[in-house]
Amino acid sequence: MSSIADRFGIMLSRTQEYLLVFSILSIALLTLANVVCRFLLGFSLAVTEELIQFAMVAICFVGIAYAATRARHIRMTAIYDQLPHPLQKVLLTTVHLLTCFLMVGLTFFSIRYVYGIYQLGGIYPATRVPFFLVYSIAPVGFALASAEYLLAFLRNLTTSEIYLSYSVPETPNNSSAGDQTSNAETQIVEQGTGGAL
Amino acid sequence: MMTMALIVLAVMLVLLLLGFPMKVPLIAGPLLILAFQFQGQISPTILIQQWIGGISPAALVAVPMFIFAADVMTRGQAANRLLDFVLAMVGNIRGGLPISTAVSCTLFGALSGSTQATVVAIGGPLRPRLLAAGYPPGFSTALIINASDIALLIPPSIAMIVYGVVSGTSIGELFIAGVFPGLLILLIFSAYCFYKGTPVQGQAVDTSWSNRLRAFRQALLPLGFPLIIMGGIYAGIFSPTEAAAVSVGYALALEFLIYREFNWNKLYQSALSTAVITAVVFALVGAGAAFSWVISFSQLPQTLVNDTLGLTPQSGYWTIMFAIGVSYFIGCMFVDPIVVILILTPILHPIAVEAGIDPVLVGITVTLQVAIGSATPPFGCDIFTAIAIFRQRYWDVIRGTPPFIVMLLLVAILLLIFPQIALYPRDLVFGAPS
Repeated sequence: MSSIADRFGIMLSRTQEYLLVFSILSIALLTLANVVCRFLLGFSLAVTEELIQFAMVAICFVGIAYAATRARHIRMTAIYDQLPHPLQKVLLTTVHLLTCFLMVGLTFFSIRYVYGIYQLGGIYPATRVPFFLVYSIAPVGFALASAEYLLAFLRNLTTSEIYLSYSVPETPNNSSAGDQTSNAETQIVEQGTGGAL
Repeated sequence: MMTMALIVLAVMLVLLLLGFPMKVPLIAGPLLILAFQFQGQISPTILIQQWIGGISPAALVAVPMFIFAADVMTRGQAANRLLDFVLAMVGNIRGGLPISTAVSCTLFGALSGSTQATVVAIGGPLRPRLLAAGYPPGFSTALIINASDIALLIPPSIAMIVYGVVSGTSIGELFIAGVFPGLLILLIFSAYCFYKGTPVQGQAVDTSWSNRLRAFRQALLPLGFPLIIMGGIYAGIFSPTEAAAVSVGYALALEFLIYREFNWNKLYQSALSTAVITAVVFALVGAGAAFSWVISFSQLPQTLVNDTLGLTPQSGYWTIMFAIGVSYFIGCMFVDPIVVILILTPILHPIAVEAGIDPVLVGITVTLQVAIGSATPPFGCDIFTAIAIFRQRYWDVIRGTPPFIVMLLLVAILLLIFPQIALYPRDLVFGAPS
């Protein structure tokens, strides 16, 4: 892949990172503000509740793309781990391709859904933001995830190593709960919490 | 209809076993049902609608907030101070190290709502010490992954939040009802560790009273954490979501203002890690909600539960609770607890409630069963966390688990015989349902 594509990829994943961090910090600040407000004034603000809602939707769909970039989605690797290297590669490449197809499908479904919402109209009562604008994050997230799985598929086709995602090569340490972090300490923390519960 | 269900189930299981990301089988299943059973009469956009609807309940805001608070405390100093405190208190008695492990998992469970975060935070530092003290690797690893189950019962608990949202049960009541079953597991595990315990070998822990006092002082502020969450909810000051936000504020204040070793970079990493874990959870919640909608629309659960299994509200307490316990337990042996809760709850919860069983008792039983299931072979997700963190082979991780699973199932049975273990504190605070 050309260096321009690489640079674009890095820029894209950085943007996603900033969005995710911004969303988490906003949720924290807004819920805290809401608690304080309820204590002092006796009611909570509808505006902050809607803003929190936007951040939650953003985290969900931007996160789907980002987790794909970092190969962080939960996979069951009990069988995969037992296979010899060439079979692992065939399997993972197939997984990437089929997952890509599914994500493309979801992209189209979500575009149709958002378009339907757009035609119906409707806005959030407090912030007066139209529904469709917030929900548009869904197709964007699915589209980015589709692109990521496609890139991972292509990279596995063109190299001899196994890549869990376009930028994350498989190492003995990350085959089960993969993540690539330079800092060994955070790597342990993040691998462990890579699962949901 | 049943053949359809079996085909869909088989396809999902194959996708799962082949190592597809867990959301893929969850989406492929409903797509197949929409395509074949309804033959395109229902637009697949319904999946997106349900997906967004699934992640929208305001109570789910507590999920990222509790993850965030626990992450900040693990990256900062609070978690380690708790660990030191526990070691200083019980580290030198017979079986002291394994007992410390179980106690630390319980205490950490009061900061964190997830078993896997607990495996990492407690297992990471304590496993090497257990091995150095001569405990077999199989025992040590099994102890860590099973004691982490306690974290799911001790509030906050992500499983309880999701269960509360899906079933409409009060999350605050679930939180309070989980405390005693969690402590009961701790008690039984500690007794077992005492029995299995060896006299202290290798490096001894400093358990002089001066050191205990020092460790206590060091841990005083992190110990305030459960007090805020539980006290706040008990006293009716906070809703669980507000308690989650307050605990983030508390964690940040502690690490930034008092311990002063936290910095912006750690905050960034912490928020990013929280966002990714949340996104992974929400992908399952969203896809699970879509799946759940499609199967209930196709009336598969009714067919399966009523006609095939013959489970009805008239089946009686034991049959219903047994069916609930077994199905969640088996489900979690294969997939993530969140997924199991999302799929099974809309099917089984109404039957239990219609039969007059306390929804909070159902919720605690479910939480306990998913906790046990996720540490049970073949595919409980805690096992894979342990494989990844401790760099162990699959077989070595599961070798020591059977005694722990037996003890946990014993607690599950005790809970069914004596539901007051869970319900008494709830009744005390919120009043018994009439």
